Amino acid sequence: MINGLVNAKLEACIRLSIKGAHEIETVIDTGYDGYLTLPPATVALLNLQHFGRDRVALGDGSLQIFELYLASVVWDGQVRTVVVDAAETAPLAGTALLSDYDFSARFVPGGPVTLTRVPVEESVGEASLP
Amino acid sequence: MAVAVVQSTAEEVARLGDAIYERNVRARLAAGNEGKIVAIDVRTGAYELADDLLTAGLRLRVRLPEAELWFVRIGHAAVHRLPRRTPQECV
Repeated sequence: MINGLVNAKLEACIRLSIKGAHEIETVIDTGYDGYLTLPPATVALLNLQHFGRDRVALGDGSLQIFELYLASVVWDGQVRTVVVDAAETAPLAGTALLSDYDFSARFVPGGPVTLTRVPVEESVGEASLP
Repeated sequence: MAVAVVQSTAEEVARLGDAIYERNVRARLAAGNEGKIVAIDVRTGAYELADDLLTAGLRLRVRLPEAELWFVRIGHAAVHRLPRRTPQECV
Protein backbone atom coordinates (compact mmCIF):
# COMPACT_ATOMS: atom_id res chain seq x y z
CA MET A 1 0.00 0.00 0.00
CA ILE A 2 1.11 3.55 -0.74
CA ASN A 3 -0.12 6.39 1.44
CA GLY A 4 -0.33 10.09 0.73
CA LEU A 5 -2.30 13.19 1.62
CA VAL A 6 -4.69 15.58 -0.08
CA ASN A 7 -3.17 19.07 -0.14
CA ALA A 8 -4.75 22.50 0.40
CA LYS A 9 -5.58 22.71 -3.33
CA LEU A 10 -7.50 19.42 -3.00
CA GLU A 11 -4.92 17.51 -5.04
CA ALA A 12 -4.12 13.90 -4.12
CA CYS A 13 -0.39 13.73 -3.45
CA ILE A 14 2.06 10.91 -2.90
CA ARG A 15 5.76 11.11 -2.09
CA LEU A 16 8.07 9.06 -4.30
CA SER A 17 11.66 8.08 -3.69
CA ILE A 18 13.71 8.38 -6.87
CA LYS A 19 17.05 6.60 -7.23
CA GLY A 20 16.64 5.54 -3.62
CA ALA A 21 17.52 8.96 -2.32
CA HIS A 22 15.51 11.90 -3.58
CA GLU A 23 12.02 12.30 -2.14
CA ILE A 24 9.70 13.99 -4.62
CA GLU A 25 6.17 15.14 -3.82
CA THR A 26 3.92 14.28 -6.78
CA VAL A 27 0.33 15.11 -7.63
CA ILE A 28 -1.79 12.23 -8.92
CA ASP A 29 -3.25 13.28 -12.28
CA THR A 30 -5.64 10.72 -13.75
CA GLY A 31 -5.86 12.74 -16.97
CA TYR A 32 -2.17 12.11 -17.63
CA ASP A 33 -1.58 8.62 -19.02
CA GLY A 34 2.21 8.56 -18.70
CA TYR A 35 4.18 7.49 -15.63
CA LEU A 36 5.75 10.58 -14.12
CA THR A 37 6.61 14.16 -15.02
CA LEU A 38 9.56 15.97 -13.48
CA PRO A 39 10.84 19.50 -14.14
CA PRO A 40 14.00 19.63 -16.30
CA ALA A 41 15.96 21.07 -13.36
CA THR A 42 15.08 17.99 -11.30
CA VAL A 43 15.96 15.69 -14.20
CA ALA A 44 19.37 17.38 -14.35
CA LEU A 45 19.85 17.22 -10.59
CA LEU A 46 19.10 13.49 -10.57
CA ASN A 47 21.28 12.95 -13.65
CA LEU A 48 18.60 10.74 -15.21
CA GLN A 49 19.43 8.71 -18.31
CA HIS A 50 17.99 10.15 -21.53
CA PHE A 51 15.67 7.60 -23.13
CA GLY A 52 14.16 9.24 -26.20
CA ARG A 53 11.40 11.57 -27.30
CA ASP A 54 7.73 11.42 -28.00
CA ARG A 55 4.78 13.65 -28.83
CA VAL A 56 2.32 14.58 -26.09
CA ALA A 57 -1.18 16.06 -26.45
CA LEU A 58 -1.67 19.04 -24.12
CA GLY A 59 -4.78 20.57 -22.64
CA ASP A 60 -5.33 23.10 -25.41
CA GLY A 61 -5.24 20.36 -28.05
CA SER A 62 -1.73 21.19 -29.20
CA LEU A 63 1.00 18.60 -29.64
CA GLN A 64 4.43 19.03 -28.13
CA ILE A 65 7.65 17.02 -28.28
CA PHE A 66 8.82 15.84 -24.87
CA GLU A 67 12.21 14.60 -23.73
CA LEU A 68 11.97 11.22 -22.00
CA TYR A 69 14.22 9.87 -19.26
CA LEU A 70 14.46 6.69 -17.22
CA ALA A 71 14.23 6.73 -13.43
CA SER A 72 14.29 4.12 -10.69
CA VAL A 73 11.39 4.71 -8.35
CA VAL A 74 10.65 2.96 -5.10
CA TRP A 75 7.04 1.94 -5.58
CA ASP A 76 5.19 0.04 -2.86
CA GLY A 77 8.51 -1.17 -1.48
CA GLN A 78 9.86 -2.35 -4.84
CA VAL A 79 12.27 -0.60 -7.17
CA ARG A 80 10.75 -0.18 -10.61
CA THR A 81 11.93 1.59 -13.74
CA VAL A 82 9.62 4.27 -15.08
CA VAL A 83 9.65 6.74 -17.95
CA VAL A 84 9.86 10.40 -16.95
CA ASP A 85 8.40 13.14 -19.15
CA ALA A 86 10.46 16.29 -18.60
CA ALA A 87 7.86 19.03 -18.12
CA GLU A 88 8.00 22.39 -16.39
CA THR A 89 5.12 21.58 -14.06
CA ALA A 90 4.63 20.30 -10.56
CA PRO A 91 5.67 16.63 -10.63
CA LEU A 92 2.70 14.55 -11.78
CA ALA A 93 2.03 10.84 -11.26
CA GLY A 94 0.03 9.42 -14.16
CA THR A 95 -2.10 6.39 -14.78
CA ALA A 96 0.74 4.28 -16.22
CA LEU A 97 2.34 4.52 -12.78
CA LEU A 98 -0.97 3.70 -11.04
CA SER A 99 -1.64 0.66 -13.23
CA ASP A 100 -2.93 -2.34 -11.23
CA TYR A 101 -3.69 -0.23 -8.15
CA ASP A 102 -6.90 0.86 -6.48
CA PHE A 103 -6.85 4.61 -5.78
CA SER A 104 -8.86 6.34 -3.09
CA ALA A 105 -8.67 9.81 -1.61
CA ARG A 106 -10.70 11.84 0.87
CA PHE A 107 -10.85 15.25 -0.78
CA VAL A 108 -10.46 17.51 2.22
CA PRO A 109 -7.17 19.24 3.09
CA GLY A 110 -5.04 16.66 4.88
CA GLY A 111 -7.33 13.82 3.82
CA PRO A 112 -5.80 10.38 3.32
CA VAL A 113 -4.75 9.05 -0.10
CA THR A 114 -4.27 5.33 -0.50
CA LEU A 115 -3.08 3.19 -3.38
CA THR A 116 -3.58 -0.54 -2.95
CA ARG A 117 -2.40 -3.22 -5.32
CA VAL A 118 -5.26 -5.02 -7.05
CA PRO A 119 -5.23 -8.73 -6.18
CA VAL A 120 -3.91 -10.72 -9.11
CA GLU A 121 -7.16 -12.62 -9.65
CA GLU A 122 -9.07 -9.33 -10.00
CA SER A 123 -6.72 -7.55 -12.36
CA VAL A 124 -8.04 -7.21 -15.88
CA GLY A 125 -5.20 -7.67 -18.27
CA GLU A 126 -4.43 -9.49 -21.45
CA ALA A 127 -3.56 -12.62 -19.46
CA SER A 128 -7.14 -12.92 -18.22
CA LEU A 129 -8.77 -12.41 -21.59
CA PRO A 130 -9.88 -15.48 -23.54
CA MET B 1 18.90 23.98 -20.24
CA ALA B 2 21.46 21.20 -20.50
CA VAL B 3 19.56 18.27 -19.10
CA ALA B 4 21.53 15.30 -20.39
CA VAL B 5 23.45 14.10 -23.41
CA VAL B 6 21.01 15.16 -26.09
CA GLN B 7 22.77 14.83 -29.40
CA SER B 8 20.09 15.73 -31.91
CA THR B 9 17.46 18.37 -31.76
CA ALA B 10 14.02 17.17 -30.75
CA GLU B 11 12.48 18.49 -33.95
CA GLU B 12 15.01 16.68 -36.09
CA VAL B 13 14.40 13.38 -34.31
CA ALA B 14 10.65 13.85 -34.65
CA ARG B 15 10.95 14.58 -38.36
CA LEU B 16 13.17 11.56 -38.99
CA GLY B 17 11.11 9.29 -36.77
CA ASP B 18 7.81 10.24 -38.39
CA ALA B 19 9.31 9.72 -41.86
CA ILE B 20 10.62 6.24 -40.93
CA TYR B 21 7.24 5.34 -39.45
CA GLU B 22 5.36 6.43 -42.56
CA ARG B 23 7.82 4.81 -44.95
CA ASN B 24 8.74 1.52 -43.24
CA VAL B 25 6.51 0.79 -40.29
CA ARG B 26 2.91 1.82 -40.81
CA ALA B 27 2.06 -0.58 -43.64
CA ARG B 28 3.61 -3.53 -41.80
CA LEU B 29 2.36 -2.97 -38.27
CA ALA B 30 -0.57 -0.59 -38.11
CA ALA B 31 -3.33 -3.10 -38.88
CA GLY B 32 -4.49 -4.78 -35.70
CA ASN B 33 -2.05 -2.91 -33.46
CA GLU B 34 -3.94 0.31 -32.83
CA GLY B 35 -2.86 1.86 -29.54
CA LYS B 36 0.40 -0.07 -29.28
CA ILE B 37 3.76 1.67 -29.16
CA VAL B 38 6.52 1.60 -31.76
CA ALA B 39 10.05 2.58 -30.71
CA ILE B 40 12.10 3.73 -33.70
CA ASP B 41 15.85 4.30 -33.85
CA VAL B 42 16.10 7.31 -36.15
CA ARG B 43 19.76 6.52 -36.94
CA THR B 44 19.24 3.01 -38.33
CA GLY B 45 15.49 2.74 -38.95
CA ALA B 46 15.27 -0.28 -36.62
CA TYR B 47 12.09 -0.52 -34.60
CA GLU B 48 10.29 -2.53 -31.93
CA LEU B 49 6.58 -2.93 -31.21
CA ALA B 50 5.18 -3.38 -27.69
CA ASP B 51 2.10 -2.67 -25.61
CA ASP B 52 3.89 0.10 -23.71
CA LEU B 53 6.60 2.68 -24.27
CA LEU B 54 9.02 1.34 -21.67
CA THR B 55 9.02 -2.19 -23.09
CA ALA B 56 9.36 -1.07 -26.71
CA GLY B 57 12.22 1.28 -25.89
CA LEU B 58 14.14 -1.13 -23.69
CA ARG B 59 13.87 -3.91 -26.30
CA LEU B 60 15.37 -1.65 -28.94
CA ARG B 61 18.09 -0.44 -26.56
CA VAL B 62 19.12 -4.06 -25.92
CA ARG B 63 19.66 -4.48 -29.66
CA LEU B 64 21.08 -0.99 -30.22
CA PRO B 65 22.49 0.60 -27.03
CA GLU B 66 23.19 3.89 -28.81
CA ALA B 67 19.75 4.13 -30.39
CA GLU B 68 18.21 7.59 -30.75
CA LEU B 69 14.64 6.75 -29.89
CA TRP B 70 11.42 8.22 -31.23
CA PHE B 71 8.10 6.78 -30.09
CA VAL B 72 4.80 6.56 -31.95
CA ARG B 73 1.43 5.29 -30.67
CA ILE B 74 -0.17 3.51 -33.62
CA GLY B 75 -3.30 5.29 -34.82
CA HIS B 76 -2.78 8.32 -32.56
CA ALA B 77 -1.17 11.72 -33.05
CA ALA B 78 0.37 11.62 -29.56
CA VAL B 79 1.88 8.90 -27.38
CA HIS B 80 0.54 10.41 -24.15
CA ARG B 81 -1.94 13.04 -23.10
CA LEU B 82 -1.30 15.67 -20.47
CA PRO B 83 -4.55 17.65 -20.50
CA ARG B 84 -3.80 19.55 -17.34
CA ARG B 85 -0.99 21.46 -19.03
CA THR B 86 -0.71 24.05 -21.75
CA PRO B 87 2.34 24.74 -23.93
CA GLN B 88 3.44 27.65 -21.73
CA GLU B 89 3.74 25.27 -18.79
CA CYS B 90 5.74 22.58 -20.59
CA VAL B 91 9.24 22.35 -21.98
